[in-house]
Amino acid sequence: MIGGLLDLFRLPPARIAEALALLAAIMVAAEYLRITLLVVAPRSRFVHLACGLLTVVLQPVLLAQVLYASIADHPERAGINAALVAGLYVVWYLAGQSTLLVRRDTQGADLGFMIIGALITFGTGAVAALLH
Amino acid sequence: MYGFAWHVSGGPSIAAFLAAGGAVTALLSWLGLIRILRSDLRVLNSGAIGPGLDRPRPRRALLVYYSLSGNGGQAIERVARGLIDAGYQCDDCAVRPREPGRFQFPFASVGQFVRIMLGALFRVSTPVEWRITPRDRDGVRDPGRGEAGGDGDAESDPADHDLVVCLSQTWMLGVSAPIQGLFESQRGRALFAGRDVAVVNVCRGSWRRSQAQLVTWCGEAGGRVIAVSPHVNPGREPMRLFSLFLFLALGPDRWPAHLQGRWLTPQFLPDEDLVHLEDLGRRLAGRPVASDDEVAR
Repeated sequence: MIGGLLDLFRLPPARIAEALALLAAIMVAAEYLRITLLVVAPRSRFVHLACGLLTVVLQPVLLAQVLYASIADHPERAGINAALVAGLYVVWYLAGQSTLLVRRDTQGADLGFMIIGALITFGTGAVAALLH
Repeated sequence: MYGFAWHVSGGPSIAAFLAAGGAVTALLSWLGLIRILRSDLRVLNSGAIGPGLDRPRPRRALLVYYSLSGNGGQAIERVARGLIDAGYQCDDCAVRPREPGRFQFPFASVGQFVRIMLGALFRVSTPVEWRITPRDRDGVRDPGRGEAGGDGDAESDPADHDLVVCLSQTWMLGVSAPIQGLFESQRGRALFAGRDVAVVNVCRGSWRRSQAQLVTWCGEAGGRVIAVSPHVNPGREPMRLFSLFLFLALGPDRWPAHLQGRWLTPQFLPDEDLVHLEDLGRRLAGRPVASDDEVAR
């Protein structure tokens, strides 16, 4: 079961809907967690580090791994998989913006750092496409 | 539960429906949590000026700030102008790192930038000193009359100032290292005790955590936070972030101003924000007094 779940992080064509649902859920949960933690435990170094990682590191690195593995498995689907990962970035952005519906001072998504993250993700995807 | 539903229903539809329902419920619950967490910040960010402490008001404000690029300095200057227009006297409390070489502007190297960012991410503060410099009734500073104290940490008697305006920029989501250093000093915290406090944040774009930190620390130091005013640089992402990095590297002298507007975004607050800050100063001067119940809250 664990193996089956981990397989979803490679965007298998036969289970693409499940893979996207899982990754979208992770992106939404990570963004909600980031926005929640921003105002929690102001003195905590651990919480602050978590906020930083959730702002520009964890999600881009995860999606970079997903994109690299999916291209390695199915090089002919490189473009499709890149588009799907781009769609997950849209999910990430919309998750952040959705918090503005309940509270105007959440600031929503941090588009600047998301784009920095996208450089990490799609840069990795480009390397994968070149190598495979 | 979903597997059982799947088995009983003989298909995916019921299980998928239950899973979707569960997910929506979880999302809505989480959004509810986001709404109620730190509701004090939500109230402050609505723009209202809260009632101040019931104490004598010598109508004198202490402006506590650290400014690396001058953006924060410009912001605090406008708050001061509003306060002075409304009949307040202002004293500056410019915070300075004891190791000024650590925080140069423009940055001396990429390594220095990376060290500062990592320090901000891991909440490494820096020892600071400060000097309380009075202004005359026209708002002109008189550095010759500044009090520095024996080790550079000037003290402020609560009776001298009824209001503190504290400004910080955001470094990697949090309060800047020098301002953090101020709050890690007992004498620094004493600057806020028994006074009304207004918190101003100036940043590229992310002020939420640095605001929460500053509001919390001012309260823990014995101050009553009555107003907040967050401000972001103008422009759209991602050029706003890239422009900031370029500005920190080049400084104002080598900043390619001819590219500003087309490719690069401005690095100082726009006029409407400065006008807002001046108005904030005037409104702070006329703040109401809290009742006993409000103070207890």
